[in-house]
Amino acid sequence: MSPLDQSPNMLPPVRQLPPFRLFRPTTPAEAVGILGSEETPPICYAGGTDLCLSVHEGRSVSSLLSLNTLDGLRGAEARNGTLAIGALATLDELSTHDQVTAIPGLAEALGAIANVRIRFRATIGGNVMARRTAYEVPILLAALDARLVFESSVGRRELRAADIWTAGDLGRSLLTEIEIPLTEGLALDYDRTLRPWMTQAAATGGIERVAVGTRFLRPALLSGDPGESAESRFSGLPGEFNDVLLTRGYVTGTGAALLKRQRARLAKG
Amino acid sequence: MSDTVSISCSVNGEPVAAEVPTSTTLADFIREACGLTGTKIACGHAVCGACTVHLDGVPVASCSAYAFEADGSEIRTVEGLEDADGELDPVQAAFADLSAFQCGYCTSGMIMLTRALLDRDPNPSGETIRKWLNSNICRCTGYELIVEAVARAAEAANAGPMR
Repeated sequence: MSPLDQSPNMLPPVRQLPPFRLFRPTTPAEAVGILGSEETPPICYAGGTDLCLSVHEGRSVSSLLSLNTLDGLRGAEARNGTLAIGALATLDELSTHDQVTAIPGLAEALGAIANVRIRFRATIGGNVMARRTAYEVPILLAALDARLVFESSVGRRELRAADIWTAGDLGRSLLTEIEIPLTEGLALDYDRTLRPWMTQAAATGGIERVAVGTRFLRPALLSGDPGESAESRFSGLPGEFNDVLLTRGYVTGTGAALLKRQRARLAKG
Repeated sequence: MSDTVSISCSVNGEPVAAEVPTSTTLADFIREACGLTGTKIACGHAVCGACTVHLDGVPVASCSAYAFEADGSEIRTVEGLEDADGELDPVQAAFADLSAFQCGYCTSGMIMLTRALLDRDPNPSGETIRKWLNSNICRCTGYELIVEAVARAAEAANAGPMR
């Protein structure tokens, strides 16, 4: 055994995991049943792009629920005034999907996340359910006022995308769908020029919604009258949106500057 | 519930059946169960792309995909690119002609990524090539020769003029 193997700081990669219990349901109902009945709910596995990272970070895997064998939960369709996106739709699929391109700016934003190889595998639902502040889909969905639809053994539950951070344990729930309200004039601008430190999504359509994401802070959502000044919009940034790497003052000034550019791009169409 | 899983799949056109531990990665399945060591493992968490193979035509980082996902699927590795007569795929030939490698450890992943690109877009623009190659990491070459090799492979496959 090498000294590195003995170091407590060296966590095993995903390829050195011991065997785990594997569930491969074929229907969402079967998956929900497993999540509800197992003593410890298995980890949901779709694209797998986040699991390997979390294993590196020390997560143990005793059982896995593969969602790749499920029928459905893919694609996107306009339905009852919303764009309904299946949780297992990949970022690549969505970045060229007809229904997604109907919301200006959304397909481009999804097509800019990570890289081609990752986007082929990574699912929109996985990006949300990883609940990592550095991931970008929750920022986009917060700006779009999206709803997350969960199924569990106790029934259906809806959650605002912006509330995913405070929703508690969702380990027994299956995210099945993401619904984006198709309000008149809906359009999105996503600025990731300052990534990884800060990204910002701005959506029009009725009220203006601005979601600010950073590497370590839970995204902030600022909304109001589109006629309000950018500086005024950012004066509403919560006091706790502050850390040693990204102060509230920096975000307030920079966010307002970015928002002015975003408004100009959105107005240009 | 068993800690192993049965896999029946096609690897480079050949049927393969195996029983492996559930936690076996696709990379280990390919390298150890199938004996195809052209697929390399480097970062181990889907970042570098050295382990890229095609799973049902989609380029995936096999170090962080599980072997059970290949059940009922088609796997294609770098060993499966040359034709039955041993003639190199245009992508392999372009990489070799231009020496678009130095240590070579990333090369099979680069070739598989490029093959996936050309399968979707036989005439990629320079920008598209760069966007795709952004998925994989080479720490030796500086990428210029790799970008050139992809363009040459596309040209050879299409027998068109150099762009």
